[in-house]
Amino acid sequence: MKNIRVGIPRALLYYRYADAWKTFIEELGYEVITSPETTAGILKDGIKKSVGDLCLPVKTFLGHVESLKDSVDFLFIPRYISVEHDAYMCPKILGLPDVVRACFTNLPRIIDPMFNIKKDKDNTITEFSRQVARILSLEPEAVEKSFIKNSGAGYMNEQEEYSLTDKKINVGLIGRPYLLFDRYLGKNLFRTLSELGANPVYIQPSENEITEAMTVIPKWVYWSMGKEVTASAHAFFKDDKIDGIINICSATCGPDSFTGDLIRKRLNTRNKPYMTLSVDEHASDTGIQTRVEAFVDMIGKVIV
Amino acid sequence: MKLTVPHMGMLHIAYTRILRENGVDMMPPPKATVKTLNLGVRHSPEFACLPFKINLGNMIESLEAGADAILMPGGYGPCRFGYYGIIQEQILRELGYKFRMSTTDNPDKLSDLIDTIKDISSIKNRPDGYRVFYLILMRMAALDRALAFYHYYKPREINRGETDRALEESVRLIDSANTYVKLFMENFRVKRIFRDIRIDKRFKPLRIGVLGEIFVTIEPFANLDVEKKLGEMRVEIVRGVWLSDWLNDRFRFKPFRRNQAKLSALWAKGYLDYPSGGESMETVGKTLMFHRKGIDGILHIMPFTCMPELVASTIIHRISKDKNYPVLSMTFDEHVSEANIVTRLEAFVDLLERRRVERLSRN
Ligand code: SF4
Repeated sequence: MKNIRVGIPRALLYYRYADAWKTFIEELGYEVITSPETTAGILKDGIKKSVGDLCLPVKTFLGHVESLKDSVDFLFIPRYISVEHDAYMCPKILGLPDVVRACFTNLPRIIDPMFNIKKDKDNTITEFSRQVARILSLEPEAVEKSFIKNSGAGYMNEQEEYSLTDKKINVGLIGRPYLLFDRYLGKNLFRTLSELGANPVYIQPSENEITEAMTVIPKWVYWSMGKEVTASAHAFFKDDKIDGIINICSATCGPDSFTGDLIRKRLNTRNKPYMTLSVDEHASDTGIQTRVEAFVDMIGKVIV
Repeated sequence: MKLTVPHMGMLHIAYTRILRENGVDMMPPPKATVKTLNLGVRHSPEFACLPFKINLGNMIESLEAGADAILMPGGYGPCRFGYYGIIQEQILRELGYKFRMSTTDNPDKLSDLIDTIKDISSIKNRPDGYRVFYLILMRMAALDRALAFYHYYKPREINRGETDRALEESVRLIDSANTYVKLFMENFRVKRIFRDIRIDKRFKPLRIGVLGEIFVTIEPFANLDVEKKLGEMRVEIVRGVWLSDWLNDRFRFKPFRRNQAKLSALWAKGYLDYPSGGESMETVGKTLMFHRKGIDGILHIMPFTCMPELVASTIIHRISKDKNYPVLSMTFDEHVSEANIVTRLEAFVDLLERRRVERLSRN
């Protein structure tokens, strides 16, 4: 029997949940196809498909959908509304399945279950699984069991571990995973920094770190990833081993326009070198390279 | 304590007199001008949305004029609005202003609002708080009703400018109505004022549905007064977003008016299945509703980088293709020019006119 193929676009929340999603879908008996890493061509397709001024990561997402849509039977684009009680995802992620449907004709069927803790509370996973089961005509209980079993899969296993070293310049990197870990969009910051002799550091802030960071600012940040970015920034600013911090964001990102302001004004109390790299489809690699170089140079001068 | 609240359409007309009579030293911001906008832009994060920048300009100008307290509604997402007050306060403190800032973090919760009113005014008990609050809501509804009359009469008027004068007069009357009874009477007079306008009864204007992010849609300063411009081109506006509806969805003061967000969600099914915050649901749902009702086309208004409306705009462009239905999306920020807006509106109106002629000649 021919396998039924489910496509997962390698963009946006993929960079957070990919492992959980993949094992979950495979366990249900489907073959998972992920789109290749972002390329100039994929981004160009995405831009062609999008209307108006959607942000870079969403345009990229559309490019990935384009590259997958003709080779799969289903597309897995769940609607993540809230993954915790006190925060939402960005509005563009809330509307993602609808945006995709609006931008394409002839799409394979989209599996778009809703994950909304704010609304469904303890029943969130049951509700989510029920919707998956309905679309795929499966048993809801089996789906739920498999989802729970796999939902613990770690974040970002594909990434190499980056940790502190005492030797050289440690640069803390903050930003949304789908920018930071997408080698094309994120301009390969990890590599660039290593090549310059600096040590890139990325952390996934813990519950405690998040709670602590939220008490330092006047009101908690009600976007999940914005909250994490803010908490990482706070942890880095406090940490003596971190010599400088780079915040990478999409130029027209809504949440980041505000959290960026908070980070700069409220958290950098010790005046550490801090730089925001905002990227869009026109950002040139050499431009970014030069700015990162200058930044590392500057830190080098400060710490010797 | 001189209290100021950033502008939002005609809201200040609804509350200023009433709160003053109840012991609040209200000081609405000076009318927004280019200077207001420039002030806001200069001190805002570059990619903050337009309402944020205009609000900030309002705040600065009010503080300069002597206000020492700011009330800014808050909230908890998913759009950026809930975080406005925090970032604005931070900017104003950095600029060296001294003031008290209150953000009502649960603007949807009636009892919190009533407590806020009690805190700042001479009102002592809750029932009085409710009475005052609902009077403000009713006044807002009366203002919106007058504006809806304006939309209807403006393209049909025979003596140019008569409708504009009628609106001014109506606003004055509603403003003076400081009790429920007076408001009831003035509502009749407002209707009569508009009825007395001489109109061309045979003229059938084009109708354009106006939808979008609520602040920029209802604030003529922010949208370069597109509604008046269209009125002058003899187009009838059918507005899909109203401040009084927004308030009614939350506080249910008009028992016979449906919850517009829920109504829109019914229409939007299949295109937008869950609200993306802000007015995204209204924009999508009412585009479909207006199409069904035979409105000639849609003008969609949004601030640059507005997240909910970007989602909505993507979707209504698809609707436009699916149903062959003209949609014009306009993005507003500090860079838009008057000339550009006029050209685009004229081109859109021409297009709609041509389509109507074709349709009539076919039948
Ligand atoms: S959070 Fe920012 S980058 Fe991510 S989808 Fe929303 S606007 Fe785009």
